[in-house]
Amino acid sequence: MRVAFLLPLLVLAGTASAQETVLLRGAKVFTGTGAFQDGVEVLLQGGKIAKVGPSITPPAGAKVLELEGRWLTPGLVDPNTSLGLDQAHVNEESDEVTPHIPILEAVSPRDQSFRRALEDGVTTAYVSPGGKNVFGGLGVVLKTQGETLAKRVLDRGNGMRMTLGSMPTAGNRTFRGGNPDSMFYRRPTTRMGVIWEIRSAFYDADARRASGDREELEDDPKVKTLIAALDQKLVVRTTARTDQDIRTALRLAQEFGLKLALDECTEAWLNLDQLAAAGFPVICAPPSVETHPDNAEPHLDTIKLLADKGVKVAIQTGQGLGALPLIREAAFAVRRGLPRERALEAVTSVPADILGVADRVGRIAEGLDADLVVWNLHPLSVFSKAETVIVDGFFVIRPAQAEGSPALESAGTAPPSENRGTRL
Amino acid sequence: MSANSLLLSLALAALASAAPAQDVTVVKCGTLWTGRGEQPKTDVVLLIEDGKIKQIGADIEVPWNANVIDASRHFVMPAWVLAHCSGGLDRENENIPMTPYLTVMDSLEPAHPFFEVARRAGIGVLHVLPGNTCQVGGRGVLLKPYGQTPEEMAFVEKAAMKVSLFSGRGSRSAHLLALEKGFQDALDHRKELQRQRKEWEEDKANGATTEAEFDVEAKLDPLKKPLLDMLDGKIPAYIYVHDANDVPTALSLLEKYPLKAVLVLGPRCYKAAALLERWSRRNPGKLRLVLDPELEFTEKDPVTGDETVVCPAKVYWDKGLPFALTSAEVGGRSSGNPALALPWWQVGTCVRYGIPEDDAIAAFTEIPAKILNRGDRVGRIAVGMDATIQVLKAPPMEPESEVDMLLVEGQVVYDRSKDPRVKALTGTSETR
Repeated sequence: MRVAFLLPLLVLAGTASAQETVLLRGAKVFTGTGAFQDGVEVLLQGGKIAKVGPSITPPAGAKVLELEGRWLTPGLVDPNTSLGLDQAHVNEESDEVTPHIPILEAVSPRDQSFRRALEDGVTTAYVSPGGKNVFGGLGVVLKTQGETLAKRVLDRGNGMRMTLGSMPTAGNRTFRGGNPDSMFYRRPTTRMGVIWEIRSAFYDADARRASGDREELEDDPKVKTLIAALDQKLVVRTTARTDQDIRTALRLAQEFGLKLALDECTEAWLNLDQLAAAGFPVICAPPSVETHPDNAEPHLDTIKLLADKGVKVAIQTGQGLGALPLIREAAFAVRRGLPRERALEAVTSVPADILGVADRVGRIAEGLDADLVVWNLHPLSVFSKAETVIVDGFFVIRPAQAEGSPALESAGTAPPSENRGTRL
Repeated sequence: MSANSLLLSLALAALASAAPAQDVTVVKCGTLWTGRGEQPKTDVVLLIEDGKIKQIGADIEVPWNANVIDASRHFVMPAWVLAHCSGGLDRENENIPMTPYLTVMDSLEPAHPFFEVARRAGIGVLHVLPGNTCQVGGRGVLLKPYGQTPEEMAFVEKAAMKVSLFSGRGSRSAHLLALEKGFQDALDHRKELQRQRKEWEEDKANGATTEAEFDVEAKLDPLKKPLLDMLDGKIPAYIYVHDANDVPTALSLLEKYPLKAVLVLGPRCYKAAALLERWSRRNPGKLRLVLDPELEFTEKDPVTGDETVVCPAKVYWDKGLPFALTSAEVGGRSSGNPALALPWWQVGTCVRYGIPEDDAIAAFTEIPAKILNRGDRVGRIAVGMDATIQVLKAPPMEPESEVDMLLVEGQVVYDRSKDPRVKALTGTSETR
């Protein structure tokens, strides 16, 4: 049995309500960019990273955690997941265009998937609405652990999901008599129809923006959301897998002046120069997965090729793709040619940056949230395990026994939590 | 070109590009790891003659006619050995439950992508058996993942019989009853012939028959003979044990019949590990275990909803029971996870759950070799053993590792630099 499930019982005995001050030293440290470094110490205070540097003098009362032989990274950031969602209820099928509905309302905060993500070192995740609608809704960036859902949320309306390709047409019937406006004739039914739905929604929003009645807009969250996208105040999270969908996405971005973050981009190896020129980040499909929606053809080294061209790449586990844990996907990207540092960046600082939460998570730097992972080995080793996971300064997961590091047992506060795994 | 014919032509291209067998091959190894209990050695030369390892050492004179493989920047280790799989077949299960007379040889597709993936993954020896749904599915073949015909691939054509305790299409009890009835029918058939022979002996003594000979073996129903071979222990039985409550059934079969059995354990069988351990102590050396590819198994408590993840391999390891690991067929029959098709991933999973690295690697090399009765030929690298080895960019668990070359009995059967699919699936649209 995976020991981590037993841990909370072992460590919660003396739960304090506030995070302790802890100095982490002796580990090899990856700060979110570049290589692992020796001699970097990290001071955690009040749930934040108070200091990063060599030879920090621990303040009075601080606990010191000796991490010789261990590897320290920022908590991982997964830029696309379906954590906490019941897959049957992520698509609002009463309408094809629902850009304004927040997925946050569908997130079950105590879902076990959060616990699994935590055990794999993921402390921040983007949860996305489903891809059945042309505009699926607003995603949310949240911590995988925390006292209340409200406290866990970093950004409740992050990115407006737009899906190209066959997914929004799947299961929609073509017209066969009767009333064409009936709910049984859900549109679109073709790729062209999908793009028309997008254009028509943006044309409409653009006209409403031009008409300038701001008060009236307050009552129309759908149009308001689309206008935010047109004003580049909201990133359009665009799922585009095949060659033609990627091209279409870039064309739409140019046409409407959108700020995109591209999701999956399975056939990006066909559009490297266009993607590099457009300058949008790509949140790549998990590299271990071999079969993809839309019959998109993956290439083994797509992520490496994108990184070589200077495209900002992050790695996701995605929704229903059957991916491995995020750190294993990063390791697969290395097997496919991506350098180790780029792979680690693609699951920490880069996704934090893409999600617009780099001031809170994704790096080990002063002032950022104390979200960290202690690994027993280089995290990209197939043998690596997240031994200790710290979220907001709380020690959420720690090793069961004093295996070579007794200090790990006594330091740090366990969280007062609503997550199932860490309940008292 | 259709997807299938593309696969076929790619596979044939791969076959054509493999180097022909040479009598003498030398592998200059940057690092050589020979097997469990050994430290990796640097700058070692392997001398291979007629498919066998003839010499291992630092100062070996390279014969003038040797085919030299420069692996001086590589990590060389034994090829993986897959003790049980059902890949590379047209279909793996017949739709009648008792088919001991079938053989996998008749269904093998040498150009099947399964073998291509096996070569790319460094698997040098595979045991392909029928699937898990028939009571008795037929006989498997022990083979190398290379060759243009099944005969060319096969080491042993009718290596073992597949038996399954998994009742995929009916009640458990009906399945087990039918299985035992099948066994009894075959035994009764032979008993009847033996009775007839006795009659014939009496008749002959009395001069009442003109029949010159009555050979029971020759008169056996060819449809039943393979099953009798298995029941006599002439060929091993690979018994698929789906669930923990099938374990006692399997053990009772082992006690009732003189089977040479290998138990192929489904992921939930770990709950009967204590039973297996006790049985193994009572019958030392008789229990041979192969594990299903699903090595991380999630169970949900029906009341609390809490999830527990179990690594069955670790449970057996804790009980001191040796086992062979397996990898899934492409497409991952167990969970759709393609990583399960990769031996290094399976070994890595075991190590993450606390099994020592050496033991986990042995479970995919040395132990399956022993289970397949080829422990003296494959699974380790030693003088006199087969040169069935893999040449990797880095130790297999390193993130940058990749199989660059696979040798089976001294013959290069995979060379990544000539792998058409790797070429087709890497690079940009311009380099393609």
